[in-house]
Amino acid sequence: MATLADPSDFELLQAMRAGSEEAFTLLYRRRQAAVYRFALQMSGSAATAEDVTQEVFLALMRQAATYDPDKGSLSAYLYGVARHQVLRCLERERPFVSLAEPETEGPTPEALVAPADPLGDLTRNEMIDAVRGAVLALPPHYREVVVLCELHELSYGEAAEVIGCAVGTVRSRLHRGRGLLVDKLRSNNKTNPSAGDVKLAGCFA
Amino acid sequence: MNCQKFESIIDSVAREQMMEAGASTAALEHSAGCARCSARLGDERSLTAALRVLAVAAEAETAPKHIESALIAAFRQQAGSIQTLKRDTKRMTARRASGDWWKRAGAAAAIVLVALSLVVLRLQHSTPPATQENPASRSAAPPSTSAGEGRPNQPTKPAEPIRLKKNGPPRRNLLATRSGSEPAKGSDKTGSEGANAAGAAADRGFEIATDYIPLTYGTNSGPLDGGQVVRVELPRSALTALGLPMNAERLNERIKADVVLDNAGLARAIRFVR
Repeated sequence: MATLADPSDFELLQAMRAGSEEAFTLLYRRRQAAVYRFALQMSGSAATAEDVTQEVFLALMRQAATYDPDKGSLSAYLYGVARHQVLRCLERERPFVSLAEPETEGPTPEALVAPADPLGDLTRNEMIDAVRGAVLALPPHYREVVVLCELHELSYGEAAEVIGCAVGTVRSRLHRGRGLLVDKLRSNNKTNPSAGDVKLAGCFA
Repeated sequence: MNCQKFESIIDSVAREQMMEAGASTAALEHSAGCARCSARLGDERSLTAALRVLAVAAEAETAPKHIESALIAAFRQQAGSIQTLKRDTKRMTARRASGDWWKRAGAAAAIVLVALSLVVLRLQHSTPPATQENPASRSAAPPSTSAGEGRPNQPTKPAEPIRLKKNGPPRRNLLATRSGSEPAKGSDKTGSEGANAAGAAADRGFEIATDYIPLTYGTNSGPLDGGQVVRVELPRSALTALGLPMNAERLNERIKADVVLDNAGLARAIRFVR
């Protein structure tokens, strides 16, 4: 591959299509985290997120010719493919109700180390879990907008490009999704008084 | 600003997005004076903060390494299969180019032979009817033989062909002109001879014509004292009617002919022109 200081996504894609493994690796490393996180935040399952990430880059590998740079960024294209894959997974798994607790893969190495501020970290982790759960409880069409605009900091226009809808639709869905999140977090505070100790969620009480 | 307007922009205010300069200030002023909207803004700001914390916490999450390994392996496999495909294609192309040259040369030679045969056939078919017949045998044949002998499709028997080989463009009223400037030399001169003289006068042209074929009508029409030569176009079936060969493929085409008319307007002889 030609040595470029900071090749664009499209340049990497072209090199990848020409057979450059280095370009593919670079492109994967640049974009995999966003794709994986999006899939994880949409599905709540690490296994699904891994499958989706793999499928997205396999699709890029096999159908790179279908990408048109005039229609949008490669990032938006990858988000779009990931969204499609996630929605398929959600549709497939909808008939099944999980009776088990959310999957736990054992304590991470970081969790085994005594934190400097255990109470502060605990409340922070509780708050993060509460918000994550609230996001996952949203209907998919609100969830995807919240994830894209709030967690991935995409603009309304970029989110509209990924989802394939109008900017106004994104705006209204985000407004509605945020409203549902506030309601959800407030109801959590009512049912779980200990959560009231969480500073950030305290105002929902 | 009222509560409804405040509600419509509360997301942007809470997320500290770019908006109209006065709108943000007006919203904050309204929330300061409205307890309900103030609480709503507090909730939205808390939510924004919580979502940002979640986003920051998720930044460390990446796909496991084994996915990268699997994808790179798949990429190598695909690139390898593409390279193999390209190599095979090149090899086949080279083999075709080098090994089969004699087949292509043979095919080209066959095409050339067929084309030459077609050209020869076409030339043969386009030869004028007069050249296909033997003029010597035609002239040697007794002109006064009985009608229809040897020519079953011939309605009238040409009594005595008029020999004209080449002539020029169509001549109108040629015999009349001759009769005006150079009177006919007696009644013993046949119409054939007159027409022959007329044709000879037109030898300067480039047309190819048959001999004049006398037309008889069962009775003796008598000598030709004068008349006209008229250029007409006839269907090619007229050739057959006079016992001349005709190319069946050109049946629908027309053919030019010079017809000698006597003073009474009766056709006395005809020749075909090309």
